[in-house]
Amino acid sequence: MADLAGDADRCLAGAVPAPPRPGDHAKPRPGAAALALVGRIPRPLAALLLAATVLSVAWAVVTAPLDGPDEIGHAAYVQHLAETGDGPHGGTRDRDVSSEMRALLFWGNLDALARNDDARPAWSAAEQRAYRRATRGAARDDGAGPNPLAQNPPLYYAYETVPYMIGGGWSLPARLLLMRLANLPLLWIVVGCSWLIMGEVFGRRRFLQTVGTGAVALLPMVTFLAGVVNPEIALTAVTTAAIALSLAALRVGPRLPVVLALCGLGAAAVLIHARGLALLPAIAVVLGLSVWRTRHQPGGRRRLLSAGGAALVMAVALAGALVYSGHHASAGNFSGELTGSSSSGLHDLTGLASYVWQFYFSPLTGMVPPPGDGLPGYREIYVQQFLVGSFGSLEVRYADTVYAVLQVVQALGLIALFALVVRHFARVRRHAAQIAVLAAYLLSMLVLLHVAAWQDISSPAHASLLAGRYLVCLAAIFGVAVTAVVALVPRRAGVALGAVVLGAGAMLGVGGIFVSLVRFYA
Amino acid sequence: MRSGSRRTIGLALVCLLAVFFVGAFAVAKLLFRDRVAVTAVATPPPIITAEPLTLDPGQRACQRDVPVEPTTRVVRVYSASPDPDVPPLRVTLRAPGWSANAVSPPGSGRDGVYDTPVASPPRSLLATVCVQSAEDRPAILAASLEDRVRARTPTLVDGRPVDPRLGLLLLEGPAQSTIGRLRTVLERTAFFQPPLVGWVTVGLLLLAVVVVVPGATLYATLRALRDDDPLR
Repeated sequence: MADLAGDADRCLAGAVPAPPRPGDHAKPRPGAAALALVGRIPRPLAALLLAATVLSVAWAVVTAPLDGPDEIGHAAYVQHLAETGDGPHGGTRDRDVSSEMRALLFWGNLDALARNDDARPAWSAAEQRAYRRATRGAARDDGAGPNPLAQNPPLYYAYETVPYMIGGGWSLPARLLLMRLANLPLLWIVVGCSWLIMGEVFGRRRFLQTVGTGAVALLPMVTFLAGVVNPEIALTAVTTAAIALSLAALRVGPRLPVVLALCGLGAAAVLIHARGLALLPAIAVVLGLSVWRTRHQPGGRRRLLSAGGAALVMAVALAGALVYSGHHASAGNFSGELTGSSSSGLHDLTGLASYVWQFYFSPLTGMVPPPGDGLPGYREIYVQQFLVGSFGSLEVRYADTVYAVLQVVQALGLIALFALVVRHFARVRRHAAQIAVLAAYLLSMLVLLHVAAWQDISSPAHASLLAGRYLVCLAAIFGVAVTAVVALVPRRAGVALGAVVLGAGAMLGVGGIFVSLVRFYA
Repeated sequence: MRSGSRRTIGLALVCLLAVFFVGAFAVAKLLFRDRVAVTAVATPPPIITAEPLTLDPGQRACQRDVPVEPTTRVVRVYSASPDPDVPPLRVTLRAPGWSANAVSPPGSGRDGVYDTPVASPPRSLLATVCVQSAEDRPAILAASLEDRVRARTPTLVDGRPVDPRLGLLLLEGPAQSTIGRLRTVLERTAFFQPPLVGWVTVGLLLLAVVVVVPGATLYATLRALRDDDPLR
């Protein structure tokens, strides 16, 4: 691994700037400036952005309308927010979606699609005629709820109202496609910030940066989630940006703009989804670490005050999100997977520890299985749903062989990572602060996910709401882990391994598109 | 460029091409494999547990608003009879201005699947599809109460809705490969999309997926290795 100083500053600089020429002082046209900026993107990053964009657009087109994970609820939220200025509610209202969306669900045969790969969407002219008749004059603003996602904070949905309103005169399927495509800038943030993260950790070594960024950009779940209406990609963009900024904060110290931006991202995270809460302790660790590292420099009191003030921004955002959720949710809880959190769970810490152990490992003697049937564990969540991917509403899957092979590969990867870290401990230790930052984000999110999952499991319904896509916001950390292995093995082996990682990512993406095509339309 | 760098780039190229070859083989296998040529899934078949729906002689199970295409040639329902000696089924399709009926061929249903060839309509229409035993003995068909098995309209027995949902598929005929009906698949993909997204656009997009994604990955890898070369 390389030294860190100044690497990220140069990351996006692809070439040495040309010397000034006469007339250069003239103000450049905005278009020319944008083109110049695009021209400065390093070529490998540009190529990865292109590949990720093509994959995401293909997911958006190939995935049947509203068949993304919980996409009916997410799209209904956006529509109600756009049409009325207020989000939908939980509870006992009488319309989960608008009359217009109900007509699409009915005549598109989309209600039947979710989680059943024997079902097919509508594709006949007769159904299309019936759909057109049904949507004539159908209300768009009557989907007040009950919406199971009503308690989600509104930031991502507010963002999605822009494409919805741009396509206001178009049919609902066209608006849905626009909404899906509006995720592209978020995907670009994920990929761009991953590049910066790899630059911070591994220095300006293009191949390592490319492998790490490619591991994120070509991860099928990343491009898939960017191709459906779902706040997951927004949370991933914000988390990845926060990790990149945190690593930069270690290098440049807790300067006010950095601290403010970091806390702005924390605020955005909790306004996107309750799982954004996981960013707050991680950001607190980063702020504490960077203030501590500069404790001998003058201005320590000012830095402390600025960090405290910026943390206030996150507190205000969190309060806002809680108020919004309390007003819109049926049970006054905060968002999605944390729904059961007020009812049960944390009084039984032994049960939580036992559940977490059994999630990752075989049960020890005397351990009681957690309540509920067929709870997913490490293999389902990490390997099948995150690393390899399950698409549509989880019913679109690769052949079983793919999951089996990748399970072995990831196990070998973990063993290799552990062995290489032990072997090169002196080199790795130089990056202790960076590792602490990455660990803070990783552990914070995993603790939140497991506690929330345990609360749901130990509730009377024994529901398991943990899904592999919740790990996608940590994709950049996965990229760092993969790249660490590539960096620590001998050069030629690293090149071969890196090429295989990138090639496998590309082929999984391509394969996933065709598996979806066959599942929905063959 | 040094020969060492050339060898490194060559190694990366070989690894990438090997992975692409494996991926291309898997995708080709997927596209060339024969699969049931569905024209509509009115109600998906049971996933895990079949709920027997017994139709006494004269009783009819129907479903409304079933899309029937000019390409539809076969109506498929599933038997839940424990005895392979099952009665033939009479299948009726009715829509405004068109109707068809047929009896399942001898032997159909013995393996759990009734495939009944029917006449195709001249145009796409929404029909009511009914099945009943064609003999004086009950037919036991496979329905489902599973939450994941949903249909646009409920199954009706003698005009009254019942909870079990009778699995009902309409097929083009024999199984075909996806590549063999690529145009149909592309048209279906473009079906609920804006007018700009026609089957040609979808085809071009898939072509871009096949060409651009591996191409960009290859370029990114080789360019990064070249950029790392200290003697460049």
